Amino acid sequence: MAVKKRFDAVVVGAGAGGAAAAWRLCEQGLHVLILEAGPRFNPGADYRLHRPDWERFLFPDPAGSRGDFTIGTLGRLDPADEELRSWNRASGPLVRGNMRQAANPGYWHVQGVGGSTLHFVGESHRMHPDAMKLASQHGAGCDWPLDYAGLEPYYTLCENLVGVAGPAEQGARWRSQPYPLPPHPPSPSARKLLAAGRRLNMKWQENSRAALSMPFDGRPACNYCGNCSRGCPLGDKGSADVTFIRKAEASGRLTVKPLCPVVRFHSGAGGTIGSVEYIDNKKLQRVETPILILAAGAVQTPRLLLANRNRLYPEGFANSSGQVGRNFMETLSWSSSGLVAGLSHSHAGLPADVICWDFNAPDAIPGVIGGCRFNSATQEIGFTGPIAYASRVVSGFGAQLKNGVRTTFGRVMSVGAIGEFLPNEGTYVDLDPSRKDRLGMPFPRLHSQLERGEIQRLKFMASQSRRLLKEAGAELVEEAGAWDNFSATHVFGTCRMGNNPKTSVVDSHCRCHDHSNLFITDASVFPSSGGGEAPSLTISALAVRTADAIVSG
Amino acid sequence: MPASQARRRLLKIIGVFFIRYAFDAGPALASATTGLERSTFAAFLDMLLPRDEFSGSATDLHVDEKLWEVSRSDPRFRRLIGLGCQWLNMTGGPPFAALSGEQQYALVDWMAHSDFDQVPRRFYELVREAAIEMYYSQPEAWHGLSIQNPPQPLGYKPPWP
Ligand SMILES: Cc1cc2nc3c(=O)[nH]c(=O)nc-3n(C[C@H](O)[C@H](O)[C@H](O)COP(=O)(O)OP(=O)(O)OC[C@H]3O[C@@H](n4cnc5c(N)ncnc54)[C@H](O)[C@@H]3O)c2cc1C
Ligand code: SF4
Repeated sequence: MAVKKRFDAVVVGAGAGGAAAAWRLCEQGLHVLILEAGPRFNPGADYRLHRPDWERFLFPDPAGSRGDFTIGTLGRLDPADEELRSWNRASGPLVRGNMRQAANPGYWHVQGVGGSTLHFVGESHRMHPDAMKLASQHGAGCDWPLDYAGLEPYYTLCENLVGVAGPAEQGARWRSQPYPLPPHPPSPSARKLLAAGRRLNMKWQENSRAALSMPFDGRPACNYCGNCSRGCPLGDKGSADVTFIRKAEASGRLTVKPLCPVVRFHSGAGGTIGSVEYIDNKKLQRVETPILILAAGAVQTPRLLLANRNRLYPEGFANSSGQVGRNFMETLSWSSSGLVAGLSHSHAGLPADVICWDFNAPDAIPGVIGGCRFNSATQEIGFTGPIAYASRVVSGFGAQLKNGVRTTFGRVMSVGAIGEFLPNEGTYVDLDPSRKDRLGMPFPRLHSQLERGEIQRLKFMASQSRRLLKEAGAELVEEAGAWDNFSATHVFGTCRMGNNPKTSVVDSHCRCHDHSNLFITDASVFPSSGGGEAPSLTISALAVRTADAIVSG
Repeated sequence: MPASQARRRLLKIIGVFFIRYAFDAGPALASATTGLERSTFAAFLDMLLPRDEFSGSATDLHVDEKLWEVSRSDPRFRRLIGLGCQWLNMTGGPPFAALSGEQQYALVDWMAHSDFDQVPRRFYELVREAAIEMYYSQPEAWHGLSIQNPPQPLGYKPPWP
């Protein structure tokens, strides 16, 4: 496809942040080019949920659909925290030895039109207002340079565009409007969890989900197949391709170029970025960029900025603060799974359909700053087919194995938890000194270490999960968590947002302090991770807010 | 057969095992499958996943053929099967496939509890994992389970029991 020489704005990356920003700019009348490193997926043909061997595959990974990265330092395991070791009944310990390991691949993401939302489960959360004020209210981490009230109209806008289904009551997350769709019915395993939670005086409720509980905006309702993270073939899951990108393309002002990774930035006048270079069909192309929106995700965005050094910017673009790549925050996660007598069909239903926010506020967990949340996780962690039961729940071989699969299938109930991750010195993204891609660009390298606070939070997450399973009468069969497994789906912070150019990379409207026409609208800008909130809605809301700021000058 | 991500992961684990324990994967590269290996491997797989009143055995569902096919694209997996079969036939008596059911069971049970870092256990673990994946991805293996169809296109709509 021939590309115009000049667009009003160029967006790098078509994920949660890039797609939302592009949509808003198109809606406001701008002509936008999205350069996307990965392919465009065809949900009906590419996702494999209609095949009997669907369980052998996760999200499809054709050429170009995973970014380059390597794993650096992940830290040692302290025997004092052994209670957090991942294990299951079939295999015993999942990580042997005393080093923290990357659970293949370590950083889960997709390159493609829709970005990682193609793979995502679709939880759709707003930040707890206090999670944005960690430093001033709790003396830890970092404050956001805007507050919940400043984001609320954009949350509402995005929820209405994506089609979020959820209950009215959201505690501290006050809402100016109800969700556009009613909540989903709790699945069989979620019902057990709701009942156990109620008996323990925990407040569990339906989760707010970017999946349609009714037909909406030309998309069908969910049919509860339970496999969102393998790619939703119906298009009811609110991934960025079927929501923001579809809407933006309908405006006639969006050009999307898949399989076109951006590799280089060129300086323009007055500290701006003048143009970018990208690869299209093995050829280097260049396009001018009056406005450049960088939304390549919290790993590839710092990589692009750090790898693009020149005489003017020897430390990389946007990096006068030295903060590009620092303040990386990974996913602090835990899950406990057990077999529950009387439970059946637990593979059916929408993943992550119920949630408990009781411990989500930054001061809600005794003795540590930073919160967490709990959710139903049975389908989300893959207990959706017999292979999972045979390889994780049932040990041994022979008749015992086959009978075991028959007697346990559909009976697993899992509790998941995600917690706050506070930035620390040992957790960052830099450039790998020894691995380069074929164009000579260094791979990004992920380092992540758990500090004492994270371990304490994990212990709390594990103990509450076990308590819930016990209350449900479950017999424990698997536990997995971030203590020994680096397995990040939510990543943040590598180009943090703030008012001070010495300690942050972008301002409160996501404009780079160093380059007036460069905006970053992905998860890199989060100053804190929140207490387990799923990030995509916040990423999109911030991106739309940024687009509005661009248009209004 | 399309390459699955699970299979790639499995092959990676096998690769790491060989590298870590300095086993030589090379010589097996060109070696053809022997009849003894085929019968040993088939009997081993049927010991892992036997026929019963609900569903066929591993070989009834062609798991052996599927795994031989995998081994053709990865010399290390081929090597692991070779070493595992060799070990199964080292009793000094008849080949593994000719042993009684009880004798076969006793051998495999020993493997299942042996040292995690030695060939017999790794053979057991890795082949078990691969066989399960091949076996349970076939609807013929689902009789007796509360699942009849893949997740789509019908989904699993409420009301749920
Ligand atoms: C399995 C899984 C489950 C998840 N579940 C949830 C959930 O339930 N709810 C939730 O809110 N979040 C969830 N997430 C996280 C969520 O998907 C991400 O936080 C979100 O997509 C990040 O948005 P982003 O815009 O920062 O990056 P991405 O969505 O990853 O988008 C970045 C885009 O930039 C492109 N890109 C990278 N480099 C270049 C380059 N050089 N040139 C051009 N393009 C480039 C990439 O190809 C990609 O498309 C989940 C993630 C995973 C993997
Ligand atoms: S559970 Fe619903 S949203 Fe998820 S993949 Fe299935 S149909 Fe799509």
